[in-house]
Amino acid sequence: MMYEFREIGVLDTPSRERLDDHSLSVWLQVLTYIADLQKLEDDWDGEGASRVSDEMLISTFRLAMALMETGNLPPQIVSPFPDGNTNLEWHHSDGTIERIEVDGLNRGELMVTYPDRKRSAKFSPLAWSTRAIWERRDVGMGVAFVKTVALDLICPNIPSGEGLGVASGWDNFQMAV
Amino acid sequence: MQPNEASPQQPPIEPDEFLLRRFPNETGLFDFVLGNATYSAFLPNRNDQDGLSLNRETRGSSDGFLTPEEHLAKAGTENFRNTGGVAAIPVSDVISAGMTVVIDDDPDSPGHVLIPELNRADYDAKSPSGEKPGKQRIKLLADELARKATIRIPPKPK
Repeated sequence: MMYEFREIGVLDTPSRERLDDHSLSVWLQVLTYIADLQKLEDDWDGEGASRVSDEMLISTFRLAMALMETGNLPPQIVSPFPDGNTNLEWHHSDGTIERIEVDGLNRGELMVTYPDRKRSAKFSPLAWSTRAIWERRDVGMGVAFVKTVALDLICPNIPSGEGLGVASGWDNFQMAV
Repeated sequence: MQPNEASPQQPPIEPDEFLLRRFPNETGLFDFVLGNATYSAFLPNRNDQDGLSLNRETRGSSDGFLTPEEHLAKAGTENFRNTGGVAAIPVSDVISAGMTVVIDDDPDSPGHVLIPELNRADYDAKSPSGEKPGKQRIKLLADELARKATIRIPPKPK
């Protein structure tokens, strides 16, 4: 299986400056909500839910910071999952919902669903640092990365050439990030 | 128990009934702007190994099922009982989304039912490559429920 890693579209003009004051204010609220997740104890739902671990909190913070620093609008929802993972949600006016589940250190999964069932939902693995977010895309045999300036900054040891790099796997990529 | 099959304690489930799902008042389980439960409230918890747990909403005292208030009063913690919320989902929407509703008699929980497709065992199951295909499927179904659900009792703001 070959994967291509590309910056997700919202990151192609990295700039926090394009966020207005209101959005920045909401982002600060979002960071507060994420911090609040550490108050949850095991069995927070009374049905055996797991607490949000420190690793998951750090990972969620890094994701939020990367999204904010790269000029993305803040999510409307920050929620814990019963298994201790965390979730950010963006609800769009056309009924599309984008969600990122944080399921490990610097990694997670993007899920996009639509109001009608004619359009198939989309799942994409993601990896991030505080500077960028990467989406894995299947493109054939092996594993490849799209080389960008941001990737050079975060992950200089990933071999690359002509804008496309090849490395040994998604797990290694996540560890490098 | 097969879908829509009656049990010693319950009559068959009708498509025009509503099912109740309670959720605690925690960050992100309820959108106070839109007034909806989020899909996190419909993901199976550790007690949902065989399927998502819900209760049939009463349509009159003779059926013996629960009101939303009675459903919330059966939550496991005092904080949950005092501040949690209750969502309602039409059985017809559950079925049209490709799920089933199965009676699961519980003397302590009148009208208790399960949606077996939303079970925690599949949610946690990993393939040899480490992926969780069951979890993706369940997240999509939870998304369907969240889009169709209405709120009977909103949680109390913190």
